[in-house]
Parts: sequence; C-alpha cells; structure tokens
Amino acid sequence: MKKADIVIKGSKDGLTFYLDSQCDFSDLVIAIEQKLASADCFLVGAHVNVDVGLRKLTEEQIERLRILFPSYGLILRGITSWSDSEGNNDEGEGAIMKGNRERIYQIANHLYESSERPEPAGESRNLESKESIVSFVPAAMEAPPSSLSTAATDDGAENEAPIITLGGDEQTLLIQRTLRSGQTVRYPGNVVILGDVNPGAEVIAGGNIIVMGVFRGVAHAGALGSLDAVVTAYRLRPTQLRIANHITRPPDEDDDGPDHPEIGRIRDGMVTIERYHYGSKSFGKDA
Amino acid sequence: MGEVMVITSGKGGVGKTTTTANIGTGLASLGYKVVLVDTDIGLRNLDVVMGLENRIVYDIVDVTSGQVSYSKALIKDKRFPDGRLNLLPAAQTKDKTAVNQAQMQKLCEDLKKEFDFVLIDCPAGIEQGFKNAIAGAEKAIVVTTPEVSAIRDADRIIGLLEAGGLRNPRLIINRLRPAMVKQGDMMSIEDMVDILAIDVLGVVPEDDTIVISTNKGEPAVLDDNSRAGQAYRNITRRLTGADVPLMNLEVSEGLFDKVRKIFGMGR
Ligand SMILES: Nc1ncnc2c1ncn2[C@@H]1O[C@H](COP(=O)(O)OP(=O)(O)OP(=O)(O)O)[C@@H](O)[C@H]1O
Ligand SMILES: [Mg+2]
Repeated sequence: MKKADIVIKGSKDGLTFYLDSQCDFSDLVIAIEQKLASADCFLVGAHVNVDVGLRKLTEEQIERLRILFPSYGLILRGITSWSDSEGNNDEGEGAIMKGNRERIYQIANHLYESSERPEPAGESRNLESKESIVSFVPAAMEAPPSSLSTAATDDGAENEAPIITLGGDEQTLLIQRTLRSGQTVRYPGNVVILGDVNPGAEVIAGGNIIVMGVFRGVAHAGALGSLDAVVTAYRLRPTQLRIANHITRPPDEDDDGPDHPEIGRIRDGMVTIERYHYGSKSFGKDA
Repeated sequence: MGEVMVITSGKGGVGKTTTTANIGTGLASLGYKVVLVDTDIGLRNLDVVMGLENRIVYDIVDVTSGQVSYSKALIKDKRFPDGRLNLLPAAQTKDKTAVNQAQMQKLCEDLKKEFDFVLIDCPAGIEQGFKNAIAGAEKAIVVTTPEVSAIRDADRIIGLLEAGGLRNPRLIINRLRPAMVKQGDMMSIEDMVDILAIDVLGVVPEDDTIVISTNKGEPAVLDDNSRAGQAYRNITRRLTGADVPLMNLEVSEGLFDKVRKIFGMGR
C-alpha cells in the first residue's frame, strides 16, 4: 500500500498542508500526526490551511481535521477541496491553485509589516506571545503552468522557467533585513537572511539557515526532523543552536568566537561548528 | 506643520521622561513652540520633572474623550513667558485603556498644527500604552542605558517601531560612565551600535545634576554647569539639524571617528 504523502508549503496566510488524495483517510491522519509530532514545537501557533486535493471529505472527516490541528497547537484557517465545483475556498485566495506544483516564493522582507493582527482584549499573555511571532510566510506565486511549453510567454515567465526546472521541491525564503529581539521567522524550507539576527530573535526552518551577517539569536534548522540541515553564518554567535532534535549552546566561557564564517551541522550525532570552507563539500546534503 | 516625535525605550527607568523634559525644554530655549505629551497613564511623572504638577486641572483623557479642548488642558511653562513650552499631563487616576490609538492619532494631528515639536513621553513596556504613544508619531527616539537588558529591550522596541511604520529611529544612550567603559566594565558605544545598528542622536553621561534637577522640577538642560545638561543641549541642536560633534566626555578618543561616521559627518 502506498504511504500517505503530505507536502507542507508556505503561503500568504500561513502554511498549507497538501494532502494525498489517493490513500485512505485514516492513513492520512496517521501521517499528519507523525509530521506534527516530528515538527516538535516548530509549528506551534502557525496558521494552517489544508488542501485535500480531489478528495471529498465527509462531515466526520472534516471534524477530525478540525480537532487534529489544534491539538498540536496549530490554528486551522480553512480546508480546501477540489472535489466539486463549489469548493470551499473561503479565503478567496487567487494564489491557491490546484495540485502540488512547485511554487516560487517571493522575496518577503516587507511581510513583517503586516504582523499586527487584531487581538482579543484581555488576554494579555496570549497577546504577547502571538504578537512576537511575526508573520513571514510569503505569498505563493504560481508558476505559470504553460510557460515551459508555450512560445508566447513574456520575459518574466522566461526568467522564471530555469528556476522552476532547477528548483525541484526546494523552497527558500529570503529576508533582507535585520531580525531584532522578539521577531521570529518560521518557514518550512530554507531561510536566507541578508542582515543580522540579534539576541532574542529566532529563526526556525525546515531546511537550512544561511545568514550573511552576525547570527546572535536562536537558530533551529531542520526543524521538521531533517538531520542533514545546516546553519551557516558570516559570524556564528548563536544564543542556542538547534538542528533537528539536537540542542546546543556555546560554551559558557564567552570569547567572541572566530572572525570567519562558520557552519554548524550534525556530525556523528553531535552538533559541531566548523570553519566554513568555500568549495569544500561542507555545505548541506553531501551524502 | 510640526513634527511628532515619540521618546520610548521598552525597559523602564532608563530616562525617557528625563529625556522628554530636557529635549522639550531645550527646543523651547531655541525658540520653538513645543508641547510635551505624557502618555504614561496611571504613572504620570513628566509634570513632576517639569515642576508643573500643582497646576494640573485637566489631563489627556479629558482631551481624548472630548470633554475639553486641548488648549484648555495644556499647562504653560512659566519659564517661557510667551507660552511656547506646554505640557499635556497624563491622567493619574483613570484606567490605561481610557485612550485608544485613533484618539491619539487625532490628538497628534491637532497638536502639530499649532506646535513645531510634539514630544510624546512613552510608558515602559510594549502593551497598549506603547501602542498609543507611537500611534500618532512620525519619528522616534529610543533611549537606552549601557546594559545588556536595556539594549535587548531597545532592540525589541526598534523592531516594533519598524513594524508600526516608524523607520530609522535614533538612539540616545543615557547614564554612560566613561571611566567604566575605559576599564571595560561597561558596554561601549561601539558595542551598542554594533547590535542596534541605528544612528546615535547623543550620549548623556551619568550625572548627579539630573537627580537634583528632577527633584527641583528644573530640567538640567537649563543648567549651564551640568554635563548632562550640555549633552541634552547638543541633542536638541542635532534635532534641529545642526552638526554637533559628540562631547569629549561622551566618548573615548578612539571611538570618536567611528561615531562621526555614524553621524555621517566624516565626509
Ligand atoms: N543621566 C542620568 N544621570 C543620573 N540619573 C539619571 C540620568 N537619567 C535618568 N536618571 C534618573 O533615573 C531615574 C529614571 O529616569 P526617568 O524617570 O526619566 O526614566 P523613565 O524611562 O521615564 O522611567 P519609566 O519607565 O518609569 O517612565 C530618575 O530617577 C532619574 O533621575
Ligand atoms: Mg517615564
């Protein structure tokens, strides 16, 4: 029997879980639970849309999903099904398209500004924690489906085409600013930051974290469980470094660390930090 | 049209109120029409530091709720007989939620039509009071002391200011002790700028004359013999666009060039 396939992608309103529409619903639930459990605290508080593809959900199944996500601390925003013409794409989101095609993610440095969400009055603790989670997930841009085959494409589409073919399933978020104390970036793919990450800021990525600046905050790479995720920074001075389910912090006797770029990753079951060598196979999945 | 400027910090007790009083008084001494707005509802202080406490009749909540016009609530500072320095005091007995962001925006809109500078003294913290204080502001000054915790909060505040549309806030480092910096016992200006990465508007030394002037209700900026007062005079002039290098006591020699660069004056 085929294993239930789940793909998590970022979209304008949070994360979207694309669910296999072929397998049994019960397998799907198990697969989701595994995914959420392995994600640890990574997804807590995230807004989630569920796309069930062509599957037609029964009332109970919808109810099951409604309970499932909140029980892992996620906020379910909507369920999209493509099974019939009405759909229930209540978000009215033009960007939600059929299928699991690769998506290109916009450069998203402006997205922090939209972090203010209306808060219910009176829940000041709750308020604080929500406020500090800055919404970062970029709007999905659907690759023009026909751009590869149609001759009459405009320049933009032509430029995008090579990226699509190279990109495979990789998603990367580019942030062109400094992350300050209290700001959090969560992203299921890789995160690249052109700026510093200050103490008190957090970057949590399903994939790798690359910082072209000083990293002084908390990094969590491979937060969905990937042991070969890496964290590289121009200057790596993290408060705490987490990769998959490993947590480390720098030694207490506090020197400033070396003046060269470094890479942190798991080696022999331990998080190690080494000098980053250009041209070596030190980067990423060198299996 | 005047300029609405919020003085904020995140961490409490680092010198927001002191700074608001001194900058405001300093700007008035240069001839500008100034109004100071105390938004620290329930913990009002600015009136005391200004020596105007005993003249309060109406407060900010009376104005924002529409009970009285702002001109009725403003207290004119007697040190400037032409009435160019004014204070809108905070409410002491009312609830913090008595003011909302829309009301603050309206108030600032109204005030900046009459005054050259509207200075808003922000409460500590990042809750409603902070949001109110920045709601009508166009520029921001972040005050910090040379301590890791204050810097962390300043960093957080700068992020929140940016999220609220207030870009490029400027930094005032308060209570610096040059001797301690020299010995390596206190964060240097360089260290702080390294993390916060914003322009330094000025550095105010730790100075007993601040305590004395606060108790007397007479801002130190008016005291020619106060070092902190001199620092605030410099800050005031920088705010009006003058190129004033940092005082010698504010920085050790080696840092001087770096700080000049921060001001963009090296060119
Ligand atoms: N440069 C200085 N030298 C010495 N004392 C100072 C200096 N600046 C401020 N102080 C003292 O620090 C105390 C706190 O200052 P102030 O009330 O201005 O801080 P604040 O940020 O407004 O506090 P709050 O968050 O409570 O509103 C006061 O007692 C003041 O006299
Ligand atoms: Mg105060």
